[in-house]
Amino acid sequence: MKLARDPNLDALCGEYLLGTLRGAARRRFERALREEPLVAARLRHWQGLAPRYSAMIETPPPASAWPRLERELGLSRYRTPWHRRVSLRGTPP
Amino acid sequence: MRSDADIKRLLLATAARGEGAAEAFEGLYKACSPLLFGIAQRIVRRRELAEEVLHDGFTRIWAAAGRFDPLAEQPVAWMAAIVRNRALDLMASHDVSRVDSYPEEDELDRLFDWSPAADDSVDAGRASRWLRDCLGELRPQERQALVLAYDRGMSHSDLAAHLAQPLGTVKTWVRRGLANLRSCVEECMGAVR
Repeated sequence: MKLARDPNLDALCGEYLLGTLRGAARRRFERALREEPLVAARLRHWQGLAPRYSAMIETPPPASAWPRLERELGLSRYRTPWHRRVSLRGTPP
Repeated sequence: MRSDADIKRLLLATAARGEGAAEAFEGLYKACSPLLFGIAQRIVRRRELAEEVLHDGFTRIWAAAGRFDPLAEQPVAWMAAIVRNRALDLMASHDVSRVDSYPEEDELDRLFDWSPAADDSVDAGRASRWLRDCLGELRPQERQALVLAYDRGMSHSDLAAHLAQPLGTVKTWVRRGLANLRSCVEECMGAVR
């Protein structure tokens, strides 16, 4: 059955955003999000209402976290080569 | 924290996977990791688990950046949802003990920023204010259940244990709380249209 026609769609969107939709029900909802554009649109409508955290809760992560990400994702492949960086700034290569 | 427009630009440059995608992603990390790490810590409550959540979260943000819809979504909220989801998954697979206090209504104003963001539309700015007012109008137990679920990532059974109430009761509080919140916000929307 299409979730987009479920009379509980709004309640499901709410519980999904809140985080209380768990387990098989959560997976079912996420599948519907991928397969049914109407469900995704309805969720986006409710997403606009989720509160923004204040800067008070910001906590700097440990310095080691970024190098680990960079290494595991192989980010060096996506870096601008140094000679092009130099020439982009107007300095002759 | 940079403006939403900056974050959006960095996210799109990350998604493009061209030269400079790594620099854009690094900029995104620098701008948003303190907030996302803070969110992860509020849910998983343990620093080493929050580090895993942040790592997995940014791995997913890198992989999923191409699916971010700049016209329909707020970039920080989009990233926060990824990190929250990862934190909730992790909570489901770890037995993390919880020692929590009850959130009081004034905690809502410490935790969340209800003022409109600089680049919010007028509607979005108003909606944020309405949400705050409507949360204030909920029954205290409904508000408490909603805040604990959202902020601390509590499941229905976590809530039942934490609030010392039967499972059915907290499910009702969550369901009614959401429904009341929704009709209150919709009423506010209707009143200005």
